[in-house]
Order: sequence, then C-alpha cells, then structure tokens
Amino acid sequence: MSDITAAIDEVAVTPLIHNAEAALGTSSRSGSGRLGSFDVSWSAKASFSGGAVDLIAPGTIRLADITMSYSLGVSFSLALSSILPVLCLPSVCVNIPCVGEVCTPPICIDWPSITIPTSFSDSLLFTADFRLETYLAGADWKVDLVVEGLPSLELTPAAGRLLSTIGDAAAAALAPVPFIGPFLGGAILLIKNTIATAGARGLLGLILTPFVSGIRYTVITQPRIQEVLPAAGPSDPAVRIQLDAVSAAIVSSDEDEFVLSVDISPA
Amino acid sequence: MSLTQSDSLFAALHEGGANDITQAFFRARPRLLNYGSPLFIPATTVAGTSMPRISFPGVPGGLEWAVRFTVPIVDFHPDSSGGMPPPLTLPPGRFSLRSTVTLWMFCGRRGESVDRVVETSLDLWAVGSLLVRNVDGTSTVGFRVDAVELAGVLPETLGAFLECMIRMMINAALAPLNIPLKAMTAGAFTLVLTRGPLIETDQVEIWGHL
Repeated sequence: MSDITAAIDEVAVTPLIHNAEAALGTSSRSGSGRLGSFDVSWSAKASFSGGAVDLIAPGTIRLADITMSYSLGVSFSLALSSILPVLCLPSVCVNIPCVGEVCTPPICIDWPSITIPTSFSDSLLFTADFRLETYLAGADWKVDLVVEGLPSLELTPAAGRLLSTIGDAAAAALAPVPFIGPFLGGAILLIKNTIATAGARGLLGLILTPFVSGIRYTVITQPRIQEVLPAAGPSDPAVRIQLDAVSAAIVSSDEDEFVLSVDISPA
Repeated sequence: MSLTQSDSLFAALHEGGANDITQAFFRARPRLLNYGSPLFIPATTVAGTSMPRISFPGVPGGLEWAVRFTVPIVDFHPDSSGGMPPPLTLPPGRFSLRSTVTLWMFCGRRGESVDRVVETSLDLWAVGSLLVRNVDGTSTVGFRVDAVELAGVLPETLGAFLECMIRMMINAALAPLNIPLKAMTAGAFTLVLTRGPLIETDQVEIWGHL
C-alpha cells in the first residue's frame, strides 16, 4: 500500500492535459528537400489543443480529435526552362541596297530560375494514444504523457488547399518574368500538375509528422522535497517530506481513473 | 467501486504516510514534544519549549517541572497496533496513537544539585478523531485525542488524573499538526473538499473536485 494515493476521473484529468498542451506552446522546425523539379525549403510552427480524453487501463490515455494548428513558410525554387519550351526568335534577313543581305542573329530567351514563396496556415484533427512515463528530473518528479507510435494525419483536404495557395503564389512569382505572358497560365498549371495533390500531401507529411512523432506532455511536476507546512517562527521551522517514489497508472472499475501512488519519508 | 465514486478527485493518506508526516513534523519542531520550566529548558528553542515554574506558596521561585513525549505513532482503524490496553478500543472511523510520556520534577531547593530530580515514564495510548481545520485559508486535516489510557497506573484515580492532564498536553502538542489537503495528493492536485476525512482500511480518505 502506498503512503499516498490520489485518483482523478476522466472529467478532472481533461483540464490537466489541456493545460499541459498549452504549456507546451508552439514548436518550430525547418528543413529542405526535393519535390520533383523543385528544391523546397520550409519553416513551420505548430501547436496542439483540445482532444477528448479516454482513459484506458492499465496505462493508456487516448486523446481523440486533438487540434494541430500550424503555419508554414515554404519556398519552391525551379528553373523555368525545365518546364517551359525554349523560345527563340528566328534570324531575320533584310536585303539592303549597296550593302547586301543583313541578318539578325537568332535570339533565344533564357528562362530564369524563380522562387515561389508560399505561406500557408491551417489546422487538422488527429487522434493519438499516449503512455504514462514517471521519472525524477533533477529536483522534480514528473509525470509525462508520451505519444505511442506515429499518429495518422489526414492531410488530403489540407493538401488541396496548399496546392491552391501554391498556384496563387506561382502566379505572383511568374508575373514579372519577361516574355512569360503567353505562357503564364500554362506555367501555373504545369507547376500545380507537377506538384499535384499527392506531392502537396507528401510535403505536408514530411513537414508535419515530426511535430506529432514525439509529443510529450508533462501533466504533473512536483518537487521531490515538499514543504508540508511553512515556517511559523524561529522555533518552528518548515516541515518537509520527501517523495521517494511516484508511479502513475490508469485503473478501471465502474469508471476509469488516473491514479497516482506516492511513497514518502521525512525529509 | 471507483476511488473517486461520485466525486472527481480522491486522495488517501495511509497510516504509514501519516506517520512519515508526523515524524517530519516533530523532527522539525521537537519543542512541541518537549516542555519544561527554566531549570530544564532555560529558553524556548527548536528543541524545547520553556514554560513558567508552577508557583506555590513556600516554594521559592516555584516548582520546576518538565514533560516530554516521544514522537506519537498513529494507527488508523482497523487496529493494527498489536493490541490496545483495556478499556480502550479502536472504533470505526477513529485513530489510535501511542507514545511514551516522561515527567520530571525537581525535588530540591533552588541551588541544590539536579540529582534531586525525579522522573517517571509512562506508556500512553490514546484514541481520537480527525477534524478539518482552516489554517490561514488552507483546508487541513488535524488530530484530536478524545481519550488517553496510561497502563498500570494505580490507584485508578491517579491514573484518571494523569490521563486528563496528558490528554490536554498531547492535544496541545498535536494542535499545530495540520496536514494540508494538498499534501494528501503529494502536491499534485489542489482539492476542494466535498466529503471526508473518513478513516477506513488503515488510511484517511477525502473526496472533492479540482
């Protein structure tokens, strides 16, 4: 039998977890890679909130419909010549009296390389199982929820929206390119088709999956040495106990509860 | 049956944990178990509480005395103490407590050797109940002794006299021992009490919500 047993039900554990989500704040990541003809670099921020709590004995907490809010800054770089046809003005010859035939050299347009900067913000819902992890970190006991495995993210709807945003950004990036006029619509379509929904989904997965693969919420932090009573005068110093061992579990009976067991000793 | 039952939070302090807190309390503040007039304790410190001499006509300066308790050991119902002295029993919902009390009296005149000190030690058993106290806005659980038994003191009237005196003393020593409800959750949760404290199965239990 533990010295101290504390139990809370699913209703009470919910704000505890949501507070831990809020405490985690916003995470940032950046990276780069290759997407078809494009060189891609990105920076991303993400935060988590909400989720319906389901306690599952002996040690699983399922959070259904966690909201992941994220914002991306993605830059796509490509050489337009890789998607647009070579455009050359043919040689033109003019017969000039007393001079003879004069010809202009053929002129070919060198399509430049462009960068398409794209900003995209969205949110998605996902469900994840967490295991309980209790450990002593320095002077504190902590109870963490650590995500199990890799939660599945439904990215297709967001991918469609991202692709549309890329199209708009491409139009803005291509507009200043000389001689692009007749090719503008086709170039935007080519860029969108090159990436396609599948590519956008893959890109989102590449960027967002690391955010969810290691989620760790600290739901309880308590000092190993605890002050039970404060000092009450020079002859009555503070009274302290030491938390020698802490464990957490999910216990199921007629309801599911988060149970904390603690062994203590005089400090 | 779930631990939280119809509430959302449950906390239990087992008698082992209660004794750890009691030990911590009296180890930090031993003066609350150790009282004496200036011959024994010249000044109040963490170690002891200096008390006035007992004035009595014809005794210059008054009677020098001291009393000391060992750290009490608490046992929550059901009785797992190994046997209480009759007529004490441990009813449901109560705790028992055992300690040893030592009494000193200086029997000489002022200036004489302290060899003239007489002392006696008595094993004391007590039964009591828990009470909720609000201390500086914090809900706490405290101990109150209702009955004391000193085994083997005769005549019985002397036993009753000493039991009365020692019950008041031990209650005074225990009065500052108020365990915050938060300590009963190891600090993890702040609880608003809705039910308890209730003593059962060797622990004190409380229910509430966050």
